[in-house]
Amino acid sequence: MPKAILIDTTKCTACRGCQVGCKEWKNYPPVATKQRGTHQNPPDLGPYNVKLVRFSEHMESDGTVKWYFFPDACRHCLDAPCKSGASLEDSIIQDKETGAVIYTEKTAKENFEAIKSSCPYDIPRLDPKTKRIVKCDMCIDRVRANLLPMCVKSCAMGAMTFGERSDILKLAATRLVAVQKNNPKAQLCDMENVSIIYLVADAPGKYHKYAVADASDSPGYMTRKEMLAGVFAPLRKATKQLQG
Amino acid sequence: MYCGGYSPTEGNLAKRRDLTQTPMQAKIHLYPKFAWAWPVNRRILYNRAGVDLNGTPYNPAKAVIAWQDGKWVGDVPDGPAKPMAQGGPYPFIMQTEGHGQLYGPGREDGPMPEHYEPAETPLTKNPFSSQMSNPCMKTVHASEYDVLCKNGDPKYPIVLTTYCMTEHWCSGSETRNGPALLEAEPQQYVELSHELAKEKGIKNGDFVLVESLRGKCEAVAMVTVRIKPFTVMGKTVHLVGMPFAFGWTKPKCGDAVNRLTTSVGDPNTTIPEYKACLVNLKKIAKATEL
Repeated sequence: MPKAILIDTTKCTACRGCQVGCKEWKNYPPVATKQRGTHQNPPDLGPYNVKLVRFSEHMESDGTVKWYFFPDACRHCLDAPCKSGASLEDSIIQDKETGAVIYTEKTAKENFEAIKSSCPYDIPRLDPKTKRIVKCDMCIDRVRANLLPMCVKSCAMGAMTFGERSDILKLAATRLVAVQKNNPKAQLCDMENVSIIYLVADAPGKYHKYAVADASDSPGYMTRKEMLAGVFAPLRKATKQLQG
Repeated sequence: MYCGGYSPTEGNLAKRRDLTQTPMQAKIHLYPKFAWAWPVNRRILYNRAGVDLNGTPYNPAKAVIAWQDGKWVGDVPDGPAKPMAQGGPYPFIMQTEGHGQLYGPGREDGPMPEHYEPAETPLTKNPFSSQMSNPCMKTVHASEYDVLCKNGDPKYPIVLTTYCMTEHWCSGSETRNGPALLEAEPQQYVELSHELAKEKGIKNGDFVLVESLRGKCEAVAMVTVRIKPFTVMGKTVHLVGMPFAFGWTKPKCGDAVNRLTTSVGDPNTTIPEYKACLVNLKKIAKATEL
């Protein structure tokens, strides 16, 4: 049965337990960082940071402050464009049992730019040492051992729920109704197409440039169809990222 | 604190989720069988203060306990004695005299709450009191660093507050050795408003030197909408905030913010007043501590 994770950003406090827990479980080496005037650190996803909490802050026209947190990682698309974009059959595989999209060691033989630009969420990163393309694997090792993915396990706020896709969709629908009461713009990001479903309380573009594939509230947006055609990469580079 | 919370017959009483209650308990939303409270599952301290000498509630509509037919009903009585008319003690059983108190023995200040300005204040007059700051506060005079600005000192017009953060524990002397935590929060920063940043010509990510009468500390500017200038008695007062999780034991992560703060403590426990002191700041081209 396919699995899914609901990430309810309205419950996220940006403690970054998921970011650090992920890194510790995978035993990734530390990355040298600098304070750059934001809590978002490292600045972006990388080969040793496949989970990253993104921060964005907004001064609304009525003088209220909105501070949004987005624990970014691979969405594990049901029909993954990166898998379609791969040249080798077994460099990117999809686990039948969970639906997890897995990058194998054979991604070292893939064209990184082609794989990266096929992703509507700007997820794949290149490990300069192994030349492998790296991203979240839904903690397939843990899930097969009946353990929760590390991000879900480490979330003290209960913002992340892992389970059967059918159960997660029901929970997501219930939470959406509750959050929409006070946040009419609340939505579930690309729920039909992905296994990692984000609940946001405001326009997705105010959380992260690539929160949704069809970022119609951001400049230079593309439809999912256009993205699958892989023609959006130049446009994406031309747009500036929102970050607070 | 958990003494009595585990019963040989019922197990862990804190796990109880039974919502049954009497109509009297329902009026004050008291659920005696939901979870458990120390001691003896009493929910409201000194509850016999809510009844008269005969055990009749002063407010029958919101009665916590009542003496009926020779026993207490409602909450578990505090001090299982009879009503005072029948020889029971005063209700405040943990106090020597049995009475409620506004002011206890051994306290240095009180009894009524008062607003005092911190030991260092941007104001020259306390609008709420003729007394500027707490006359009982504990101060130290051990070194040349134990000095305080005069009230409303124009050389140090900005208020500094200090705080901890999620990624580092207390001063960070242990957690800064955790590579993944240091990666997430690597260096000393100072949060300031866009308004103050504009006034001082500081951009987000610039190096800043923060100075008080006692010392200096370098930090990276974090310019944010989350801090707004205050207007206090018609005057703009800027606030900046810095974490206390950094120190010299880890090179290039910045030094301790307590080089700036005051050595002033509260009258009873000497808990330091690290939440407010006066500073000034300026942009610097190069940092040596970061």
